[in-house]
Amino acid sequence: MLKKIILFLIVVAGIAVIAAAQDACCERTVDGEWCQFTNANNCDENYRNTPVSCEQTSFCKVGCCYNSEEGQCFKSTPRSLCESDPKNTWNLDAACQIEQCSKGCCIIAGETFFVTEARCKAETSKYEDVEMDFREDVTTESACVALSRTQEKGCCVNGDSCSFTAREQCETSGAEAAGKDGFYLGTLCSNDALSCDCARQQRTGCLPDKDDVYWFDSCGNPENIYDSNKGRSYNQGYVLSEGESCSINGHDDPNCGNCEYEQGTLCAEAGDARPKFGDFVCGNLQCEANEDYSKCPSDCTQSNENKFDELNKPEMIDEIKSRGMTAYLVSNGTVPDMTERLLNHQPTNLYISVYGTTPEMYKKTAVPMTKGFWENVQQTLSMIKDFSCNTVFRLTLTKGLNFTDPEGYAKLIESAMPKFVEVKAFMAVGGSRRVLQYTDMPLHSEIQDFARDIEKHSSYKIINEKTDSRVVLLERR
Amino acid sequence: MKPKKGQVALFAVVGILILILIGFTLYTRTNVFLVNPGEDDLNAELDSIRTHIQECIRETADGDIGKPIVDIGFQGGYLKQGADTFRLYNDNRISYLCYNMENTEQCMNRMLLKEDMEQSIIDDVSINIGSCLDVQSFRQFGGFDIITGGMNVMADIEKDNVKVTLDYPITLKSKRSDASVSARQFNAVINYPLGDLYDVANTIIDFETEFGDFDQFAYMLQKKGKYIIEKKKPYPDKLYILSRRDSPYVFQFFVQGEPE
Repeated sequence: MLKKIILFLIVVAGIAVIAAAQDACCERTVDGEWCQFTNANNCDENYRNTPVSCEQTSFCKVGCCYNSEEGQCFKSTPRSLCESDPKNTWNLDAACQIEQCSKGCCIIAGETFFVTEARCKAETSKYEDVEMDFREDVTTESACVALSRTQEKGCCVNGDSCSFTAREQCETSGAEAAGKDGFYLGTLCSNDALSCDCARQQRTGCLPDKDDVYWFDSCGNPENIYDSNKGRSYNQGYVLSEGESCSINGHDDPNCGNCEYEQGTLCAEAGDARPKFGDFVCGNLQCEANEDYSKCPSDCTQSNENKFDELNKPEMIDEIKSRGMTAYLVSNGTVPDMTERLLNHQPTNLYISVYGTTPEMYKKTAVPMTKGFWENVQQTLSMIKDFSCNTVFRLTLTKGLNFTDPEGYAKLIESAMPKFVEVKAFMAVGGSRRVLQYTDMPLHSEIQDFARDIEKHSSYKIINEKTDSRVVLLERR
Repeated sequence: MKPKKGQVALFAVVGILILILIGFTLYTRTNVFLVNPGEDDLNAELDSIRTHIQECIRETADGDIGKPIVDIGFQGGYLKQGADTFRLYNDNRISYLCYNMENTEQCMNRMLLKEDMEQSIIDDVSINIGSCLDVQSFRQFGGFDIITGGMNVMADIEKDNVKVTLDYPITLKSKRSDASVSARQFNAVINYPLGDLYDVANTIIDFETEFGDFDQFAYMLQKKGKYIIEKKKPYPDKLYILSRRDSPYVFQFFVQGEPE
């Protein structure tokens, strides 16, 4: 009998030991992990556990987890893990072939990302002035990457024919080896390494959809932006970006064709101007100042005469306000006569952008087209205190240009006496990317420091900021 | 006669010394010890405090006191790792981001969230920041009080960097006048592409969960060599080591395999 009892106890103890060592799927472990197949002793007793692998349980079955905040999808995710966060929703389809998770190509600042539409929206919203560009018809990552590649420019060599074009328009697909047919990325057709009979820099001219004056080779292919320093412009036969090209010194510059549409210059026939080479220059878009309209590009005449005349009247502000809307007016203050007229037609908010603390800094940053710009801006600033509407002294700061001298800005602000001062970082978006880099954007912390310096040297205090937009707002004390 | 001359000279020297001492005392009372600091003085002090706090944040987030961002990368996104959630490899406890599912090629996603990594950084910095933060030491010579509020750490993982912010209201108030200056948020930007490599890791896990493998060479080519992805296979698992060509920062994780 005693032997039987001992045997029974041994068996019971053995079972207990085996049970204690058995692995199980813990819905949650004592360490806080969700859905882990581990020693049953690690399971949190307030949650479920089963001695089978997790994917076989109802609570840790794998499916698709969609995070609505980030617009992110996680494939083959255990249910309890997913549902532990209220921002997530779990779906039985482990491969995430659900509408919210369908990916497309998101294009931000020329870069492509293969993400969900919600993620694209979330990422785009981080950047000011960037419109969401989501291509849902692009269904693979490689196609998304290729989308950016198709637009890359280079020389397409096909037998005797050489043309400078986009990759997608080049029909030959030969290996990119010097002297053979194929697409040569970033290479000019006059490059000696290619087998093209095209001589470099034969004439200058304009290109449709481009602002700048370009060199053309003897085959009629465009080359780099016109620079009277031919060697620098030729760049040893390779493409030179706008940012790396010369900078113009006002319209009709005889030495540089890197026009700036936003600053009022566009490729045009030289007319009376005398470029060092060729017959084209960066013409002046401000036709009002010119009596000779033939010198202006055609769209300029149209824009001045038809498009903007009505909008240029300050009565436009009264019209906006009469409709119960708010009118925000942003000006660089270079036309003080107009500022004076605005006193009788005040907008809701009047922003005056100031680009420097000295005429030199202002000129370097804003490249003004008119003479006496500094005096004009000062005259406008002297009128700010006469406005009863919200007046904002707006600083768009760019590294290497006007991101300096906070004390100087403080002096200008003190004399102008606006209600608010907006200190913001230049953002590399839109057309600005052609001349400035991402590295030219001050960080938000740097903008904060700059604003603090202005605060220190003025009677204005920091009242708000927005990190995403890299902007700090100061108000008069 | 001579002893008298000597006495006069001695008195003159003593007098000059006394004058210098008085001048020095007056100077230090007003300038060094800031008996009655104005707003400019307080702002200058605040700048020093700001620099001190920013340095302290950096020391705690990526310095001698702590390296949570580097550790997160080395440990597959987790700072605190539970039992059986990692594998020791080259002295690093590298997390499994995908668990083995029996008898299938695919694996089960552990779903690492960016906000979880941010929380880990916040917890670590919050614990350690006290070991270097000492704003009250700036008060020792000043004629001002330092009033501080509650401390709150925030972390933001971006594509190319991690921003660690300390929300810590500080007011410097003159003891003898109404002059006072304040600051609230202090931050340090650590240039590690954690957010970017996290996205790459998720892409790899997407493939591993669906197809049971990931072709790192095709991906590297597709991304024009921007990323370097090493795949090692210490039996029975797979180790992915991710980095970006422009940064020494590393993010590595395991995909659990099935022993035969």
